[in-house]
Amino acid sequence: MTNTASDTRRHRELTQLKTTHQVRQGQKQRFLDLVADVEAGRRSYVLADGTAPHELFEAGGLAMVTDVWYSGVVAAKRQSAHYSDVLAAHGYHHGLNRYHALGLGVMLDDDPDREKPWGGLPPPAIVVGRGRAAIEQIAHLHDVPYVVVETPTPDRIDTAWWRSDAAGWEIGEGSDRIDMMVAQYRDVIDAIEHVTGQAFDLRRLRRVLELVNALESEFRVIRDLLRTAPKLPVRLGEVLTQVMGLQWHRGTTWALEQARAFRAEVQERIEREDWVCPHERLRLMYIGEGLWQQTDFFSEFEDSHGVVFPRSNYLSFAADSYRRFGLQDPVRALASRYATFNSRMHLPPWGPAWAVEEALTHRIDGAILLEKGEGRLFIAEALERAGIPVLRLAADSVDGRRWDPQLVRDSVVQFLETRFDR
Amino acid sequence: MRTTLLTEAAEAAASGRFVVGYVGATVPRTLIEDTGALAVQLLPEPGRSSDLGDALVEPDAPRLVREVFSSVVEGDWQFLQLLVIDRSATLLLHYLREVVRAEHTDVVPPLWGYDVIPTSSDAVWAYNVEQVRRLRARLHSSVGRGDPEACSRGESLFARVAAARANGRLSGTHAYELALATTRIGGADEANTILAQLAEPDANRARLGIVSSAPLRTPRLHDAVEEAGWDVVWEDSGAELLRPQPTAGAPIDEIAEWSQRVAAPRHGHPFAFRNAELLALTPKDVDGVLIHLPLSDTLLGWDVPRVRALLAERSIASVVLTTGLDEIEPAELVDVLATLRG
Repeated sequence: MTNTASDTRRHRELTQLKTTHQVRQGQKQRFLDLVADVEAGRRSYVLADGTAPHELFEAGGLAMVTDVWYSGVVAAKRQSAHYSDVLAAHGYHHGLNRYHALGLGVMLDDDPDREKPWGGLPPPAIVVGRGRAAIEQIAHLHDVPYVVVETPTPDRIDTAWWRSDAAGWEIGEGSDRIDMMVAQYRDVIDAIEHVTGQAFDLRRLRRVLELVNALESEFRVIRDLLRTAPKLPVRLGEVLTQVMGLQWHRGTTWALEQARAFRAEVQERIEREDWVCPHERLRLMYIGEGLWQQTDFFSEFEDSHGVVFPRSNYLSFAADSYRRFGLQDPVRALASRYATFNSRMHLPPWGPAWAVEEALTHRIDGAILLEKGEGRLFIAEALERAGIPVLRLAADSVDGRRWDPQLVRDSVVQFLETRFDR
Repeated sequence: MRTTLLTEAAEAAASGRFVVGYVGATVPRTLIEDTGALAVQLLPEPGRSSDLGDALVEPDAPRLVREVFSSVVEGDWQFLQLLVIDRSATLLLHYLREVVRAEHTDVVPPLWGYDVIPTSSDAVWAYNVEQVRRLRARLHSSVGRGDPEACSRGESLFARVAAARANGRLSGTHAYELALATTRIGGADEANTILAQLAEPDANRARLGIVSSAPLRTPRLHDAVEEAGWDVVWEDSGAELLRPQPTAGAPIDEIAEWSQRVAAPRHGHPFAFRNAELLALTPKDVDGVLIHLPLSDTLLGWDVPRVRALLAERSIASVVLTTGLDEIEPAELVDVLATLRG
C-alpha cells in the first residue's frame, strides 16, 4: 500500500496549522542534510532506540536518528508492508516488532529501482539500544559498535509519578537504580568520544538539558490549552506530527523555537474560536503507538459523529515525563529520566493511573486503545472502572498489512453508536 | 508433568516444608535450597487461562506471562513462601503485583523481583551483585535456615524417573522432559546423569534439537515428533537450565556471575553468542534442528540465516517453523520434520 494522490491531497487539506507544515519540512530537510553529510564523510551519526539518552549525543556533537521515528517515516509512506516482506525474505520472523525493525528492512533491501523513504538510512557510526533489539542487527550489518543500555526493573510504587518526577527524581527512582544507569551512560560517553575524538563537555550537556526542559514546558502549556479550551483547537494528527518531530530534535534551539510557534498558533486558534469540529460532541482518547500510516484516522468521525481526539500519549508523556530539574550532575539527572521511563506510560500501576488522570483532566468521554502491547488491558480495565468506555482494537499501528481501514471504521462506528447516549 | 511438579510442591508444603517458587532461568536455585526450602520452577502450561488473565493480559503477551499469571491468580501456588521472578518475566512481576495492589485476588504468594541484567559490562556488575545480596536476605527473612535433612531434592521424582527408565518404555523425548523436570526440583547434576544415560539411542530414530523461543511442551506435539521418527534430545532453553548451579554456600559474586551468564544468551547478542555456546553444549550427533519462532513471540532480531549457517558448518540440517506450537496441527509438524529428513 502506497500513498495515492487523493490520500496526499486529503492529508494536506486536513492540516490546519502552518507550524505543522514547518515541522514536516524542517525535520525532512534536517534528515536529508544529515544523509548528505554522512555520505560525504562530513558527519557521523548514531542510530538509537527511543529510550537511548539522546541528549548525550546532542551534547557530544553527534547527530542522531531514532529507529522508531524512521519506522514512522516508512509507515507514513505506506511502505511498511514492502519492508516487512524484505525482513521476511531475509529470514526474520513474522513476530518482529515493526515499530523497531522497519529501518533494518530498508537497509537490507537491495532493489536498485525502489526509492527508499527519504533516501534510506545511511550506515551509522555506532548503534545504541537495549539487548534483543532489532537495531542490534543493524550494528552487525554494518560492523559497527553496539552499545547496550539496559534499564533496571522498576520497583517503587508511585501512582502519581507525574506530579513528582521532574524535581523528586532521586527519591522517586532510587539511587541504586540511577547509579546503574549512570555507569552505563559512561560507556555511551566513551563511545561518543571515540567517534568524535573530543572530550565530552558536561557544561554543554547541562545546556542541552535546559533546552529540553524548556521544550517540554512548552508542551505542558499546549496540553493545558487542549485540556481547558471549550472545544478542540487542533487535530490529533497534527499534534502527533509536531510533538514527535520536535521530540526527536529535543535539545536544539530549532525544536524549542518551533514548539513556541506551535503553542502560539494553538493559542490564536482558541482566541478565534477556530475549532477542529464546531459541532464537537464526543472527546475520545487514543492509547497506543502513533498511527503513522493512518494519521487522518483521527479526523474521520468529525462530520458523522462529532468526534474529536484531544489527547494522546505523545504530548502528555512529553509534558509529564521528560523534564528534570536540579542539573548539578546532568548525567545523573538524565539517567533518572530513563531509569523507569516507558514503564510509566504502559505498565501497571503507573500507566493505568496516569491514563485515568489524563482522561479526567481532558474531559474524555471514551477511549480507543490498541490492545497489542504491554500493559494495555490493565489500562483498559482502569478506564472502564473510572466510567470511561473503551474500544479495544487488535490492529498494528505500523504494519500496513495488519490494519484493515474498513474493519477499524466499522468497529469505531459500532462503539460510538452503542456505548454513548449522545 | 506440571501436575506432578505442583503436587510434589504442594505435598511438601503440606508436610511443613517451606517451598519457594521461581520464574526464569537466572534465579539461583542454590540460594533457595541453602535455606532448606524446596525450590520449584513455575512453567507455562499450554492453553492455561483464567478470567483475570483474559481480562488483563494482552493477547500478544509471551506464553510464560499469560499462562503462569493464570495459574498464580487461580491459587495454584498459594502455598509458596515466596515467588521469585527474574528479569525475563518482568511483565509477570508487574501484573501480579498489580492484581494484589488492586485487590483483584488474595491468593497470590509474596512476590520478589530478581533483576540480574544480562549485559556483561562492568557498569551493571555492582547492581547485579546487589540483586543477589538482596535476594539472599529476603529468602532468609522469609524462610530462615531450615533443617538440612529436609532439603531432599524431590527424591520421589527421581524414583519415578528411574522406574520409567527401568521399564524400557522411556523414549528420548519423554526422558528429556523428565530430565528437565528433574533440574527444576532436583539438580543439574542429576539431570545430566539422566541425559547421559540416553547415550545409546535407537538407531532407527533421528535425534532432533530445537532452537526455540518457547519450549516444546505440548504432549500431542511430542507425540507428533515421535510419530515423525524423531526424539528431542536437546533444546536451547533446556541447555540453559542444565548449566550447573553454583554450589551450596557459594559466594555472592559467584552467584551473580552465574545468573548474569545464564541471562546473557537471551539478550545482548542472541545468536552470534548464544548458539556458538549452545552448540558446544549440544550432543554432537544431532541429526536435525527445528528453529521455532512462533508468531506470538516478540523477541527481536533473531538472525536466522546466521544460526542456520552455524548449523550447516557442522553438517546439521535445519528447518524454520514460524507457527505457534499451540496452533500447529501435529500432521503439519510431521510434514515440516520430513523436510529435515530430505
